[in-house]
Amino acid sequence: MSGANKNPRADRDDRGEIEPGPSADALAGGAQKVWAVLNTEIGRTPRRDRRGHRSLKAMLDEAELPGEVGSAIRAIVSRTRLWRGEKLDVAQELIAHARDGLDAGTEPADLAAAMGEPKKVARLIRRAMKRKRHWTWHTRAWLFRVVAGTAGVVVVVAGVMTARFFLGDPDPKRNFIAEMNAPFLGYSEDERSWPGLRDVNMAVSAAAETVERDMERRANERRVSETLTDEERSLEFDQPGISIRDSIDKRHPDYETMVSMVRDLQPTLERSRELASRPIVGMPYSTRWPEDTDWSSVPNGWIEAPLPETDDVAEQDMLIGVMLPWLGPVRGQCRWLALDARVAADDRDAARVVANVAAMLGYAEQIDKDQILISNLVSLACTELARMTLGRVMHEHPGLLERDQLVGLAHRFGRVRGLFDEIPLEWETNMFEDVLQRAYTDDGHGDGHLTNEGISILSTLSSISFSAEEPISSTVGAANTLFLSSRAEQRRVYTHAVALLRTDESAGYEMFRGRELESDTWADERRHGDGFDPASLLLPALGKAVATQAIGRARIDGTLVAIGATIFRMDTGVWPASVSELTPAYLPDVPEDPFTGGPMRLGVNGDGSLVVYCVGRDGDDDGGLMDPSKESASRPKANGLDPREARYFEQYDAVGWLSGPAGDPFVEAIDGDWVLFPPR
Amino acid sequence: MKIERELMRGAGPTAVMRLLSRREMYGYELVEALSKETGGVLAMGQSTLYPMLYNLEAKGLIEAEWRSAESGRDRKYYALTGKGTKKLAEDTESWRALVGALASLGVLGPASVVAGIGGGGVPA
Repeated sequence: MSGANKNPRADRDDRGEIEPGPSADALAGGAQKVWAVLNTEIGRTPRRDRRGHRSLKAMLDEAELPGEVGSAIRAIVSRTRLWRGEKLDVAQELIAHARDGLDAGTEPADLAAAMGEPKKVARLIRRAMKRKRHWTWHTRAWLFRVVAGTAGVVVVVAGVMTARFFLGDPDPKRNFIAEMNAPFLGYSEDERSWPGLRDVNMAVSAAAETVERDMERRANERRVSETLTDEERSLEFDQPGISIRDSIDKRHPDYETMVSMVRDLQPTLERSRELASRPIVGMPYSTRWPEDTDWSSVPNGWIEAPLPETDDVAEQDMLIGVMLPWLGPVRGQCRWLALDARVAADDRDAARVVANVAAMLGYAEQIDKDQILISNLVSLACTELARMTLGRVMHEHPGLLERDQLVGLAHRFGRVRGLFDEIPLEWETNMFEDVLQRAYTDDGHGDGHLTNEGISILSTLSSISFSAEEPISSTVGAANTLFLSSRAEQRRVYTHAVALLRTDESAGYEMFRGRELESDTWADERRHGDGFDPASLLLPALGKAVATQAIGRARIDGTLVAIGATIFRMDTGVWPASVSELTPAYLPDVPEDPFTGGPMRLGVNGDGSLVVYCVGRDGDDDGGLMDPSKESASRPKANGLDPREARYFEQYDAVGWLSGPAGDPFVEAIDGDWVLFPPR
Repeated sequence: MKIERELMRGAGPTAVMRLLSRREMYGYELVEALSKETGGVLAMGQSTLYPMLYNLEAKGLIEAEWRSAESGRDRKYYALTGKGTKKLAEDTESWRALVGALASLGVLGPASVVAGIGGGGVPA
């Protein structure tokens, strides 16, 4: 046996016999002739369909089986839904079987009954016949099933998620604005710097407006004339003095004008210093402002009253839109106070110097009460301004400040330092929660899915636009959204990121010694997402903020060392030999050098002045000298540096870390110490 | 006697292969032989036989060929393949073990008596 299941005679008559035709009586003459022709071998050739294929019907007709048997076979074969050749093969075999049965004397009815229930038998035959097919067919069949199955699953999942996406509605419940305002409700007007802060800011702005225009015009004329020497440029001659009022050099052409302004503003600044001594800013937190506000005409430092926030949470704007309009004006005030402190030092008015420095620290403490990251960073900027101002005064006017004044300022700096131990995240987290409650549904157990409204919110927060007018981008956005995680998952991701941030903070100064910031790594990875991810949108890379705080703490420590050493000298007549000599009488602990983990250092310059420093990025002790100018960054040309590069060194000292990545030849070339006192 | 469907599903293929181990047979012959030689116990109609034959063929245990009988009628003859012979031997052993186990439990009588059942063996 060949094994090939061929049916070579499928087209032949089964019996090979001439069937007796109808009786002559039954047919007229012409018809009888036609029957005779049809009943020859040619005439008995199985009928075929229009494409030349033999048909099941023809095969059964030719078999001339009893009606019930033929019907049973037809019913079975036609239900098998097999290929044509397979059907004919099965039919041929069942016909042969039936004929054998009839020959053996089996009754047609019994034969038909033995065929079984057609639907069931056809199914069994179909399965069995399919198993016989070639492996390539089975492979194709499996591939088709896999593809179709996968497509089906995708369609179903997409359908379900799309339905969820369009059917769900957010149900915001927490009134974060009310929660934010609650701690400050008990403060009296006398305990709030607002609205007095608005008044002093408006007064200063009004006074500065005309002067500022004149200064800018003169600065432009200087730039156009190109008559500035490198030294003049390095002294910021090409900038209006009012723009650099807290660090303006006495040789700047606008200096005298600035001093004159400050003297004229004394009543206003006195009022500002008093306002800075109050515990809170006290302006209500709100997202609502008069609709007719013309923001383009709002002067610099504008502060107005917000509209009362509605109690209907759903009607409120997002918490992330809460206005903090006092931050800019407070910083502006600090810059005026810094300039006034230097003028006061020239006037030998130590009390006004102290009052100005204390006021700057007071403002720093006030705005940090927001407990929002941006407020904390502005608070640090105010503190930094106070530190630099005090340092300059101590360095340029030794002996001006009395012992008690220095002790008082040391205590104030020590207290403010605590604001920068860690980044305040309570309200950052609440802003995240507010986005979740407005973008996601709420199942009552902290979970939910993104809604159509949520897409609009997230697209507003991200750079991806989403609108009905832009169907393509809208569709892409929606498609991305289908695969976004749930509300609970977003919260889990956010919590994880916060934990990483806290880990970075708890590592202290290790980042100065090469430790990677885990929160930055996380943010970099999330940034490559689809742009609609609330967790990464609302918790950006905070590594730089962690570093900024760390640098701020070290600089405050340097100031505390300088104050302690100055008092030490008042008491003993000499500078201390080391920082450790200051503890515990003048300093509770020896501050850490971030670059080494060892003690911060101090030394005495050739002119007998104090220098407090850390070894800097290069890791070696250069005796408190800062590269490249060593003595002065005001002579950059002599050191072969562009004035702008010299400013780079001035700004970042030997840290180089903030703006200079590892491997940057310019940063790596830094050879010097990180000088904390005197400030540059 | 009517055999449970599950039992038939297990015994049927072995019985068919056993018959084909003797000689090539066509469908009707198999139906007849199964009925007569098993006293009707393993009798099966076309509805059971042909799907079973196609399955055995798909597994390569039997092979089929259309051939004309002496009467001139075309019939599809089935024969056991080498693979089928091996499978039959395995199935036979399994059935013996099963019967022996049932006998040990007293279901079929003494094991020594029923050990002779199916003693026809497997053709070489």
